[in-house]
Formats: sequence, structure tokens, C-alpha cells
Amino acid sequence: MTDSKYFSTQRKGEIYELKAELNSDKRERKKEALKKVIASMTVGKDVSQLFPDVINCMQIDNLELKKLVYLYLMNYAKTQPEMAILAVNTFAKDCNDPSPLIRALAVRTMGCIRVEKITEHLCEPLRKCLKDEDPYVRKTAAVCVAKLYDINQQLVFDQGFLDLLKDLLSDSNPMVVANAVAALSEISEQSPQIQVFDLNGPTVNKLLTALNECSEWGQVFILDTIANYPPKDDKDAQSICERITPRLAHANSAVVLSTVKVLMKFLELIDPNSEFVQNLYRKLAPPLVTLLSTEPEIQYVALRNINLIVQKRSDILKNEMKVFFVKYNDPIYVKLEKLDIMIRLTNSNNIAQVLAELKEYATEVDVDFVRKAVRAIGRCAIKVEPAAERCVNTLIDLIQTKVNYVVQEAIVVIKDIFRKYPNKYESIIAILCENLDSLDEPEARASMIWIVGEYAERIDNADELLEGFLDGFKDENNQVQLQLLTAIVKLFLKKPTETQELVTKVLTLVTQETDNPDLRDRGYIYWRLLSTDPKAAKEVVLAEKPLISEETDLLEPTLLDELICHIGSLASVYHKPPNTFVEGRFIMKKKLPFRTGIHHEYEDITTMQTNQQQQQQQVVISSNVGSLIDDFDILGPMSNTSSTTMNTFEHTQQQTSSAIPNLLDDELSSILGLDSNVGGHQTPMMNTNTSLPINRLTTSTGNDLDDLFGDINLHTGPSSISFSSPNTLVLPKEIWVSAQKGKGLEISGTFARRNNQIVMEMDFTNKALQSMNDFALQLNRNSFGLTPLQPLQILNPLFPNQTIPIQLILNANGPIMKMDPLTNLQIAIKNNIDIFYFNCIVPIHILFVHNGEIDKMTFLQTWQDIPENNEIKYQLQNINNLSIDDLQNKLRLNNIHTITRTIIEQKEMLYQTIKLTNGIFILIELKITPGNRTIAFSLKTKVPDVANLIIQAYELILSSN
Amino acid sequence: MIHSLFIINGSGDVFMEKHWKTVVGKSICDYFFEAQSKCANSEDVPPVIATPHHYLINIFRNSLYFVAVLTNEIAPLFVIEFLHRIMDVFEDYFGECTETSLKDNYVIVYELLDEMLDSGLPLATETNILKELIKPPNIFRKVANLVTGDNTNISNTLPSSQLSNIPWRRMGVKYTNNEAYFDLIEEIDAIIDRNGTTIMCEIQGYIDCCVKLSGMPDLTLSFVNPRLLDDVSFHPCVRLKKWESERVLSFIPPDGNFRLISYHIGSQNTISIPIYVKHNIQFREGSNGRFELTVGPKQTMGKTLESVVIECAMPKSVLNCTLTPTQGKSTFDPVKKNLVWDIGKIESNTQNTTRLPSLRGNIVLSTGQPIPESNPILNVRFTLNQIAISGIRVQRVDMHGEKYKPFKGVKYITTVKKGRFQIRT
Repeated sequence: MTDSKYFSTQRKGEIYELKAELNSDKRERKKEALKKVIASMTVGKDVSQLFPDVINCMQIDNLELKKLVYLYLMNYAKTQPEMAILAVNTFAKDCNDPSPLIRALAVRTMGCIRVEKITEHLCEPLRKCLKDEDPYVRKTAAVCVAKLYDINQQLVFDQGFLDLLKDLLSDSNPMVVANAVAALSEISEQSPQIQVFDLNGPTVNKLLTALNECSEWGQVFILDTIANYPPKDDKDAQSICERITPRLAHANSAVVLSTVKVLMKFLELIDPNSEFVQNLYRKLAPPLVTLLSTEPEIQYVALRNINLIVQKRSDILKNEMKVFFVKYNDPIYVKLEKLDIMIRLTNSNNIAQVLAELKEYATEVDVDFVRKAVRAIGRCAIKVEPAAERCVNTLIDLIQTKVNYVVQEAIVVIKDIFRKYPNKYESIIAILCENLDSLDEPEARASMIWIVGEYAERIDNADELLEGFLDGFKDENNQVQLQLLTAIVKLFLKKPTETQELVTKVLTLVTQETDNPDLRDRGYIYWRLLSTDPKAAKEVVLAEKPLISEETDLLEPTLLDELICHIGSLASVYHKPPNTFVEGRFIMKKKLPFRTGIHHEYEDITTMQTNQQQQQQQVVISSNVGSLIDDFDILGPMSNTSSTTMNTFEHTQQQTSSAIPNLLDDELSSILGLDSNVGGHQTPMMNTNTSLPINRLTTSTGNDLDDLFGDINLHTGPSSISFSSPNTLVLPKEIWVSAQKGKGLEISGTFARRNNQIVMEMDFTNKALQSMNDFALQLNRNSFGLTPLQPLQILNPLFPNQTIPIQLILNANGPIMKMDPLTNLQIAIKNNIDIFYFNCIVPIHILFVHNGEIDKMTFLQTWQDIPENNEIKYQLQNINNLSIDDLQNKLRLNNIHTITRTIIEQKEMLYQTIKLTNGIFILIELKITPGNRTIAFSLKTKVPDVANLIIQAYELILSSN
Repeated sequence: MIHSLFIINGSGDVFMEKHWKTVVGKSICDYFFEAQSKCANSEDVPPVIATPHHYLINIFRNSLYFVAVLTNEIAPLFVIEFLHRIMDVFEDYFGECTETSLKDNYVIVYELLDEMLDSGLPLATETNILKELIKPPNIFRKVANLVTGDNTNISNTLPSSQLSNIPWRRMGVKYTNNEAYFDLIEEIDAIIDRNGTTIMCEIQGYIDCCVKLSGMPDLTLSFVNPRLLDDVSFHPCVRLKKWESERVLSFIPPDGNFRLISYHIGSQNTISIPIYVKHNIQFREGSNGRFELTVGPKQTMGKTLESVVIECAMPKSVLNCTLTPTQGKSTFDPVKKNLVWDIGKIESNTQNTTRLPSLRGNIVLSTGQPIPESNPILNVRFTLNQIAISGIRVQRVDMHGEKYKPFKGVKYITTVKKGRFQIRT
């Protein structure tokens, strides 16, 4: 008696029979009927008509029956929401059942029913279950929060489930902790803008403790979460690494790979020459190798990741070449990946072995694989110079097999070898020419034509060969046509006497009989060049070509770094950042942490990055809540999609660097052909041309503003500085937008610090003839994350010649983008007439926070921790000849705190601290010689970028009255 | 998270589907079928397939595809491991994981899938726990159910071990005979080139245990030469810290069968291969091709090579082979072009080369076909009992925490996984 009989019920009237059986009095018959219903559901048949009958079975107190009913409910509740309500009572009852199994089952099933009316009733039972005495129920409930979030995010916030879930992170049972982490990760996966985890030292500690005891799946979630934690310093990173390294020996490959991810990320923070790192390298290799003796699917994912790891830290696997040798019965996707990694690991020590393998592969049956193997030989030749000759000989051997696709691939790679080692292997051209007729793929034909054109002077019958190609010109692929044109022009420049006829023929052909604009344009360029200045033509067409690089197919470094942060994820399989393939979702860009002490200039970017994650989240929360930022909609598309546009903005900026070479390549090759990376003088010209539009795009606002600023500086010289309040130094208002630029709107403004808040104070003056309304303001992302606390509110229209003062409180937890100078702030103001963009400088002392005092010991410690070369010295002038007390007071008003004051060698020493809104501390030592107006100023901070700004702030404060 | 699971058989029928969240239409599988149609072999389907709205991650095992549907970014290995785990559990429950066995037990299959994953998060994946929640089918229980009229395979109690710190072991285990068996199995993974030089040789080793001990035994297993093991992965029960510090395996075992440790010995270590094959294969026009193989033992330390099989995938142009073995039997499948020579045992003292098993004869090529350029690859399989080829030996197994004296046994096997020992000719 097996269950397969349930599958055979496919008769007419079956539903009615089932209905009758479900309503039968006998429990056995009911169960049989239910099983049949579930079976039909399993195979995708529609049994939703039976909904009421199945619901009726729910009352019965039998666990198996209950489970079956629940299964059915999960599937069909959505289609019959009205009926599903009937089940609510039973759920509520089950949630109070004495058996934890039933309690858990009930809350679990309720979470799976995506019907709003049921969800409402879920909250109370769920809250109870989250605090249930039985850990089995708690861990089930934790997952249920994630389900609820999927259905109704607002409800989760309103009911405070998120906090209850966070409390579970400290649960005594590791399984509960693991599930809480899993649920939280799922929530943060759905809404990356929300700060789900408070990832700090203690939380991570809790996670690390739970890691040892929870299930393997929980370990994956915990490790993935830890990977997002920014360690405080190298010691912190090192201790976490030490605690998770034993996970490398776990039998579950997902655990292993997640561990690898955390290690790869935290390794960035640790001194690469330390013994610890070397040890870790040794420990990392074996588990990666082990992944390759598992199921092919796991091998595939592992290989894609190893590919990244090898590019980032090739030392880890440098001795493991052999495990990447290909077995003939590996699935093709494994073979291709192994081959790729083999090439990456090739060096002069193992080239012989690799080459022998590759030659072996080139005789296999699988065409794709063979092609790739042949290409690999070429890549070896380019990468390992001493072995180039051996590689070339191998390729020649392969060409002599006359296997069509092998020959074609070989010719394509030989072209690259010629490029890399010019004038070295040209003796083999004759052999290549023998195979001319067998080439039928465009790439191989184009490569062959390139070779003939490039070495036309050594090939006696070059003109005949090219003429042969020319006969079928119109049927050729575009790539081949372009190549052929260039090759013939080259030939003409080398042997002008014999080939005049040929070149005329090809030029006529491409300019008069072709529809392809690229081809035609290139034809015209050549024609013009040849007819006006043959010498120039020679310089352009026969120019020295730049050498091709050794490593091919490398990922761009920033992309690689980002992918390293995504080891083990889909991104690592596709080798693309997640935002390029996860649709409609805002994904936080992950960056590798930087090591302190070496990359000073990056330091603040990383801290900002982490800040940014928090900040951005807040912005979007409020828009989810749907109130605060709604007013911003008046700003039109810009504000609506502010985060995304800025994101893309940043993205384009980032990509410009990588895009330029591509553009250049395309551009060039479309004009001058594959071979025409025309060396020195031509390249920069193309470069500027292609990058120009992008520059214009990104700096357009800046340029206008520069002009504007020039004006302002004329009007308000540095002498006009004055105080408007006894508190923090406030600079007088400057004109930010002149009436001329602002189409009648004049804006002047300044920044102040009042009640420990940053206030942007502006005067709006209407100098036009009509009234203005619909004002809105937006700040671009900036170095310190300044964003308005509230939207700009101007209720009444601004009438002609009216001036209104505006105070806008800013907070410093918005999205961050490094500006140059750091204190630059880009502002957009909109009214009913237009949108105006302008820049202004936020005086840095506005950003000093009041609680920047630290105790003496910490000061001393921090001072010593910051390396000597971060110290910046300067001579300050005490212009107003302030007494030391006055000076101290004045500085204190501006949140520059004096920690201690001593006299050393008859000099007054003041030790002061400043804390910026983003948490950066600056330590200052003032050495004042009595009677001397010059103060020796020295400054230490982990972020030297701000040093000059601080000095300016000091000068400004001291010179003020 | 894992959204849905489709189980697809060799002929492309979706015969089972399970949705953990909302229902995803079967049509999503069309993307999978499209990818499948581009592949020459069933095992060549890429494991990760992107579709406009979902990702499909599939595994191929026992000629079944398990296709998981995901909606968001999740570690693919997580999914792959989980799919394999599902298969493991099915095999454990039904003895095999085939279309028939799944259909025969679809209620249990459904209950299992439901218990293993909750809205995409793995719940209980240890068979020990699952078996307490959902009883596996067996004849005995069916009879008992018939007699008592009770017909349920769901337990009414919560598995006590699920929440303990040792989730892999159930409580209150009792045996009359307490015994623990350890099988140390090593699989050789090698490529030998045509001159007999070893290009690559690695060992994948496992210790598979069958532990039937009452109560909460705490076992310690130590090796004679633990330094050989530097690349290991352990069952979660093994205390990793203890291994790091003392190089002993200390653990409270799961009940029943489980894999304690798997290890990998890489090509840096010199491994002596216990078999050699002399070959002479020449393809010529018509029926003049020659084929000659001789197999012999090498450094087997007095042990007998057992179940020796040599397989050879002939090029397409081979029409037939007429071969005579001196030992065992050979068959040639003219459709699949596959030659199998089942040799059987080779005694280690067979030093006299004339008595070594050999296979000789002619190869017939189809007329008009070109002569193959390269010789075929030989796939060798064999088993060597009572020895682990790497030299690893268990020193002792101790038990603490319980009073009784268990019976302990350790067995060594060296073998070759199909297709992992290749000789190029």
C-alpha cells in the first residue's frame, strides 16, 4: 500500500467524491480524502473548491490531520480570503495549546497565510510566542516575524516586533539566536535601508558565542552577518578571525565559504606581513581545495569564488595548481572554470606542467572546452614570457592537426602573441597562411587578415591573399570587412607600387557600395588621409602599437573588491555587483575595509561609508512612514528618486574611469580598426574627446558656481568678518545666489551653531516683479552627511521686494559623499520659476560638537596611537594678543575643548580636542611662549584631510573680535 | 530564501512541487528546460540559472533534478547544500531517492519538506531529529498500524534533542548490544599520463561511523599519525577546539550512521598508487587497430586488489572490438562505444608477469571514418581492503560518560570513485 495511488485519481467527478469523503463521519475516510486532496495539490491540480470542507476538518484534534489541513490552507488561503477567516479561531486556540509542537505549528502556519485579515489576528499570538517558555516555539516565532515583514512591514514596526526579535539575539538557546539572526538578515535583505542589526562589539560577541552551538544553517546566517561588521581595529579583526577559523573545517560547504568571506574581508585590516596573515593563508587553502572534491554543483560555485580569491590574493592557492586539472568527465561548466583558474595560477615554475595539460585538453571531444583550452595556451604565452616559445610551438602542433575549430582558435590567439612579442615569431606566418581557406569564423578571418596586413612586407603574396578575401567582400561579417580595409591600406603604405589598384578597389567598394556607416566613414578617412598627406597616413596607420597587457580577463579592481565582500553569494557566481542583476531593489554597496595606518586618505571614507549605511536608512524609513519627506515631492523627479539618482550619479562617476578605455577602444577600432591603438599622440586626444561629455555632466553645476563665487569674493572680503552672537563664531551672510542668476531670487546665507544644532540661516529676497512660491530645498550628498531636519517651509508667497529670513536646522546623519573641498555643500533650491543649484562652504567649526571632551588619559593614549607622520605643525598668529584664558574661552565657545594646561620649559602648553559630527576626533597641542604672538600649533588626527580646515578655523576664531 | 522546489525526472516531467511561500507557476521551469536543452549531457546543466524575476538553482543526482526557486540574493552554496541534504534525507527514509520511491511516499515527502524548511529557512535537517518527528515508513509499522487501527506517521511529542546543545543526538537511546564501528574509507583521485607518470594524485578520505551506544557516550578517537590530516571537515559533533589543540577527535556521536570526518590529502604528499596498467592502443584503418592492456599490483603491502574494473570510452569511429581477456570478462557496447573489462581480484603475489591479467585483441574502425587522433582515456576502479593508502591509522577509541563496555571496530578500505582514476593512453 503506497501513496502513489493518490496520484492516479484523475477521473471526472473526482471533486464531488472527495467532498463527500471529507464530510464523512469517519476519521479514517477523512484522512484518506485529505491525502488525496493534498496529492492533487502537489501535482498542481486545482482543488480550491474544497476549501470549506477542508476547513471543517481543522477542528479535529489529530496532529497529522492538522498538518495536512494547514498545508492546504497555506496553498489556497490567498484565493479564498473570506473563507480563510473561518480558520482564525482555531489558530488562536492552537496558539494556547499545552503542546509546544502545536503552538509552534499554529504560529508558523498563520505566518504563511498571506491574507491581511488573518495577519491582523496574528500579532497577539506572535507576541506571546516570541516570549514563550519553550525555545522551539520561540525559534519558530522568530522566523514568523520575517514572514510577517514580508506581508506587512508597517505592522512589524508598529507592533515593535523588530525589537522583540533583537532581544532574541541574547536568548540562552543558540538555535533561537540563529533563527533570530536569520530572520533579521532576511528583513535587512528586503529593506537594506533599515538598520536591522546594531552591529557592535557586544552583539558580535554574542553571535560568535552562538556560532559554536547553533545549526549549520544558522552558522551561515551568523557568519554572513558578522561579515558586515566593521571591526574597530586590526586587533578586533584578528580576534574575530581567530574565533571563526575553526569553521573552515565544517562539513557544510556554505559554512566554509561564508567563513572564507569574513576572513577575506577582515584580512584587509591586518598587516599583510604579519605572521598571523601568513598562517591564515596556509589555513585558507585546504578548505578551498576540499570544496573541489564535492558534488559538481558545489565545485562550480566554489570555483567561481576561487576565481575571485585568486585575483585578490593569489598567494593563497599558488601551490595548488594540480587540483584544478580537468577530468574528462567533469561537467562542462566545471571544466571551463577550472581552466580559467589554471591560467591565473600559471607562472614560470609550473608552466611546463600546465602546458602539457592544456595540450591534452586540446584533443578532447567537447568543442567549447577545446576552444577554450587553445585560447588558454595563448594566454599562457602572453603571461609567462620565458614559455612563450614553447606555447607557440604547441599552437603550431595544434594547427597541424587541421581540426577546423582548433586552427581558428589558434590563429586568434597567435594574433595576440604577435602583439605581445613583436618581431619574434613571424617565421610561423607561412604555416598560418596554409590554413587560410579553412577559416570560416569571422574572428579567425579578421585575425588572419590583421596578421597579413601587419606583416605584409614579409609575405610575398600578401596582395594576392588579401585580394582573395576581397572577392567575397560583401558577404563578409562587418568585423572582417573593417579589418580587410585596414589591412589593404597597410599593404598599400608598405608596397605602394604594386597595390594601388587594390587599394582603390577597396576604397571604392566601402565608400560607394556599402550601407554600413562605420565602414564607409573609415573608408573616407583613409581616402582623405592617403590623398592629402600620405606621410600622416603612414604615421596613423602604421603607428607603433602599445603592448597588450600580461593579465587578460582581470576584473576591474573596485569591482573585484566589491565582489570579495559578496563571496558565496549569487554576485560571486555572476561576477557582477548585486545591483546590476537584482531588479528593483536598492542594494547597499559593500566595500572592503581599509587598514588604518597606511591608507590615511581612505580612512574617513570608510568611516563615512559605515555612517552612510545608517544614515541612508533613516532617510528611507521616513519615506516609508510616508510623512516627513512627502513635501519634497514638489521638487519633482529629483527629490522623488533622490537616493537612486544620486546613486546612479555616483555610479557613472565611478564608471567613467573604467568606461574611458572601453570607449576609447570602441571608438578607435571603429575608425581605425583593431590594430589602430595608434600609440602616443593620438590616444590622449581620443581620451579627452570621449570623456568630455561625462565631465561636463558631472561638473556643470560646479563650473557655474565658480563664476558665482568669484563675484561673491569681490563683494565680501575677509575683512568684513564679524560676530553676530557671543556664542559660536558665525560668519556674516554671503550672497549665495545673485538675483541675476536666481531669476530674481537672491539668496544670502551663512551657517551657525545654535543649541548644539547646525543651523543654515538664509535670507530670501525677491527682486523680481512677480511673487514667488512653492519653495523647496535639497542638499546634495556631502562629506559630513548634512541634511535638513525638516523640509523648507515657506507658507506665504514671497512678494516682490520682500525679504524673509529662514532658519533651517540640519542634522549630520544623511548620506555621505566625499566632496572637494571637504566642506563643500551643493544646494538645490526650487521655486515656481526654476531650480537653482549652487555651492557653498560650511565653515568647519560649525561641525564641532559640544561633547568632544575626553579625559587626559584617553587623550594621551590617542595621541600616542596616531603615528608621527600624521602630525601637522603650523605657526598660528595670535593677532589680537589674547591672554591665554581669553583664548581658551574663545575656543571653548566654538567647542574646542581644552583638556589640560601645563607649563613646560616656561611655555604654556594647551592640549585641546575637537570632535566632528561624524565622530572624528582631532587632537591639538598649542605651545604659547609668553610675550610672543606666534603660537606653535600641532595637530594629530586619524584623518589628516581635515587638518588644513582646522587650521583655518583656528585662525578665523583667533582673529575674530 | 528558497521559495519553491520542483522535482523533475529524466524525461522532463515536473512530478512534485513544493512552495514555501506563495505559489510560483510551473512555467518557471521552462527557463530550466531551455538551459537543459542547450546541454549535451544531463549533468551539464549549469547549477545557477537567472530568469527575469527568479533564480533557479538545481542539482542533478540519481537522474533527478531538484530545482529550487529563489527570489532574492542568497548564498547559492546554502541552497545547493540544502538540496543535497533533502536528497540525503529521502535516501535515508526510503532507501533510495527515485521518482517511484518519492511518489510512493509523497505524504511523508511533503511532511518532510515542510519540516525541513520554514518560509525558506532550514528548520530541522538532521535525520535523527526528523525521524522523531516523522516516522520513516517500514513494513513493521504498517503491520502495527493495521492491527491497532492507528495510522499516523507523525509523532505527537517534540523531539527532545532538537533544542539541546547536541541537536544531532536523541535522548534516551538504549541498546542491548553497545557497539561502535568506524569505516575509514579512502578514495583515490588520480590522473596518470601515458608514460605512467602520476600527474595528479589525491586522496579523499572519510570515516563513516555506525554507532549504537546507549545514553550519552562521549568518544575520543586518536590517530597514529594525525599530522597527515591538515585538510579536514568534521561533523558538527566534533569539538573543533580539541582538534586544534590536541589533534584528537572528541565528540558525542549521533545515534546510528553518520560521517564523522572527511579529509583530503593533496598532491604535495607522495602517495603510492597500488596498481599499474600497461597499455598499447593503436588505431589503424579497418580492423587492424591493436588493443592491449596488462594490469598488475604495485606496492599493495600484501593486500589483494579487489573488484578491479577498467572502462574505456572509445572514439565514435570505433565500430567494434574483438578482445579476449586472460581473466574476468570484457564487453563492448557498440552504441555507447564503451568498453568494460571486469577483472575481479588480483593477488598481490602475482609477480610473474605472464600470469598478470591482460586483454588483447583488435579494434575495428567504421569504414570511411578518419582515424582518431588521440587515444582514449582509461578509467580504473578497484578496492583494497584492510588498508588506508595514505597510511592513516586509528590509534585508539575511548569512551567516557557511560559505564558499560562497548564493542569497537575499525575497518580500512581504499577504493576509487567512478571516473576519478584516469589513465591517459
